[in-house]
Amino acid sequence: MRQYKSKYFKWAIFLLIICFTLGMATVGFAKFIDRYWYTTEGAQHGGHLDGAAGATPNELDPHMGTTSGAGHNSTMNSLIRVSPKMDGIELELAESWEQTDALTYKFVLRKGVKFQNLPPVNGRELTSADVKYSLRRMAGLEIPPAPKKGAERKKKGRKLRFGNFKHSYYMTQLDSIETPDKYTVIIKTKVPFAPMLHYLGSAWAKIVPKEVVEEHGHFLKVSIGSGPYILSEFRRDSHYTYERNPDYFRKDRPFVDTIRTTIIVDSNARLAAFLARQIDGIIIEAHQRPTLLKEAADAWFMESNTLYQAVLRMPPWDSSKGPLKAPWNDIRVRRAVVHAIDKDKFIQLTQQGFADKNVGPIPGTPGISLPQSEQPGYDLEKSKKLLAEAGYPDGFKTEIMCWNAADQQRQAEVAQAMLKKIGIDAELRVLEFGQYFRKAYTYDYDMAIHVMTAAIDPDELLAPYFGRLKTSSYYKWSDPVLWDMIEKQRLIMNPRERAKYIQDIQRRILDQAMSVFLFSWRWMGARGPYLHQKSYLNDFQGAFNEDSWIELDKQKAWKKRK
Amino acid sequence: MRRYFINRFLLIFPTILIVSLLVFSISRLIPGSVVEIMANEMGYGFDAEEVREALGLDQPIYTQYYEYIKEIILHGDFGYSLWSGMPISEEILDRLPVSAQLGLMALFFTLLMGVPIGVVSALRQDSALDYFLRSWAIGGLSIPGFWLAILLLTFSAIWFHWAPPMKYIPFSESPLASFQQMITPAFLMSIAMAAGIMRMTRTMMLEVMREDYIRTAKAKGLNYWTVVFRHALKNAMIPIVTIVGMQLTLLVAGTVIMENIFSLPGMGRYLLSAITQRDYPVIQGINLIICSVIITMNLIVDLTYGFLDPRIRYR
Repeated sequence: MRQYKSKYFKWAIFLLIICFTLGMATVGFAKFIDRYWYTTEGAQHGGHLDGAAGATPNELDPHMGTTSGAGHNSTMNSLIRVSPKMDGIELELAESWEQTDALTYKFVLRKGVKFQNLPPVNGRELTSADVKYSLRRMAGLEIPPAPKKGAERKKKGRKLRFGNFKHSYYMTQLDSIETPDKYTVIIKTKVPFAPMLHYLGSAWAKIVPKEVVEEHGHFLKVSIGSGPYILSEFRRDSHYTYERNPDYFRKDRPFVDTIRTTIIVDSNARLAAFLARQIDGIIIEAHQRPTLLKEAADAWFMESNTLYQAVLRMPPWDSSKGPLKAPWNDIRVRRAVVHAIDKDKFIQLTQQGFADKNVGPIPGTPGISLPQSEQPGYDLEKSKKLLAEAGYPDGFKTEIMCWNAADQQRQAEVAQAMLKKIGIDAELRVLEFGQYFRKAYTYDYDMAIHVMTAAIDPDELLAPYFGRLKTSSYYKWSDPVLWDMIEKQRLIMNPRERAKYIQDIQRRILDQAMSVFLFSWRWMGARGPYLHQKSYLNDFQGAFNEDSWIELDKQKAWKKRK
Repeated sequence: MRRYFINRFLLIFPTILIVSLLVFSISRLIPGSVVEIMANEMGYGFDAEEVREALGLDQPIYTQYYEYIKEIILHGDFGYSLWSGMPISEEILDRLPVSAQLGLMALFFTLLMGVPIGVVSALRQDSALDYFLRSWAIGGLSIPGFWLAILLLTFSAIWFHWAPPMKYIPFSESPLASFQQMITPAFLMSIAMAAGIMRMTRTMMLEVMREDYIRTAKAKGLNYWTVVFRHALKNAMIPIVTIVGMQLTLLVAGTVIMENIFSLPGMGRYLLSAITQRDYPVIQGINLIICSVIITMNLIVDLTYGFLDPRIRYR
């Protein structure tokens, strides 16, 4: 009997292994590659690339926009570029740069760089005057004349002055820009300004021709620069198409002849388009990961951290308008909220586990981000004790605001459930997009789920949120000590010292407990196993299309093999 | 009949005027004005007052309305988008064919499915086929079209590695490719509407088939299908035509969802983003167009009654 059982047991194990192997073979898994892996070995010129975007940009103006980053990366250039892992500088329009003293940056431009051969620039050379104009425009210093009343209204079309550029705070310390000759730009700051290089290398600091602004008033429908691609077609809500710029200053770039980006709003439709091999690459949401891994087994799959982070905010405080309202004026209440949020569970419930837990306001930057050992920690008993000490043993009523996107709502619901455990009864207010931002930017809310967008420099995650009231735009917090610290970090030119000081700033922010820094989204994407792209961590840089190339035969075969 | 037509035609203008006034006012009552979004969120202008002045929103509301209506009546000019600065007439002319093609194809499928299935179901009353078709109709009415659309997109991509073309192909560029692109969203839109038409057709056919004149027609020895189509269906059509007229409104509203899912640059999507961004002239312009289309279609539907039933006289 024992022999009989043993014989069949062995066969059962053997069959189980066979079934498991066959099962795994049929499931299949996409090949994981390092997002930052890039090679030009064997690079081929030519071909066509199909991509997808989730929304139509409102405008194509690099100094205005917050959505058109990938677009104007293809048609325009900056002086320099922040490297893929944000640990260095790459040259772009500048062929060299040096910091001659703490306040002065000297850039020497490449010679013979031309704007695209389109009216009104008609392929003229890009010079230091264009750099000066563009940076001054970005700083809000190139102010077009105000439209005349009456006459302007009757004129066809309308010209709105773009003065308060969204990224003008990049240039708050700009003192002067000198152009001693056509190819030399000397930028002087008022004080030593550590973020300056990163700001000059951002996706928004593009060099634009003045003639386009004078003719069109803005870049709403045109995107003319010196970049590797020419925007040949732009149909709102449908697609935009780029064609290779034959006069691009890098003679071996771009590799790909045409790029078409179709605007596919629905994420399921985008995934379907990738699985049907209509597009060559995709960025997915967490819930789509298992499907993509299983169904696109021969694709290249990449995953990395991002700099976008989800935040649970408590009320903004503008001391010029009065004290912070109760119960939020009691730091024990704010700390109670922080300790009531179980971030691991939060990530599991809202992102299926695919996100990176944050500590402070600066995510994903080794040496600057606070280590996990400094997490405030999930501690319900401590939360309840703090609330009781503050005089709210039974909790209190409040509101959590979010906008009407599924992910936002899910986060708000989970936060609501977690706060309920310590007696805080938070009513959910799900607002339409325009209403949400109206309340957000009039700083009129109790609690809110918010997104801190990606930043090119830690200063960008500090000054607009926690800096002086006059200049902070995304949030308000009245802590003069914090303001001084944020201003001081900009003056520290030694990177190591600055990093340490920024960590101290983050500790103070955590101590003030005005926000719970929840997590950073995980960047997950896939591409056909023939598409080589140089990826950049900073989400607004994404991939610079000039470096993308295709193994043409492999692309043809992949698209045929459905 | 002529007097009726002229009276109805003349009524269109005051109706559109009232609608324009309502839309003009209501769009400005939505919390969160375009000025706040532009000045606060997007950094346009130097302050809210400058933005308001540049957009002409600093004028009294009656002045704004008067200027707006005057431009439409005198020049057919719907104004300019507050965000893109593009002439709205151009955008509408660009997008109207997309929505119109989608809507007309959906209407075609609706009638193609709804009427014959309703007739068959009535003629085969209480049979297995009848029960199946009625269940289909209930399902069609209950299941949201957008859910079906997402299921279709997802499973056809997974099982067959197929998805409808996502890049918009104008009809003028390639009628066949355009038709291939539109057939899926149009069919999905038509399911719920066809279900409603089917149920009404079945009910009316059952009622009409019991009438004395149908029994007389059969007794006279007329061919069965002649009785069904020339006598029964024709008399059953009036309420069906009424339902079709009512569904036109749903058709216009329904294109928004399908245009978003299938990436079609139609009026629905344009309207949705205009509402989100509080682009008042666009909201007003598109609503006026939709209103005009619905009024015109309803007039056509009303005139169809006289054709279907010569006893109907218009006063």
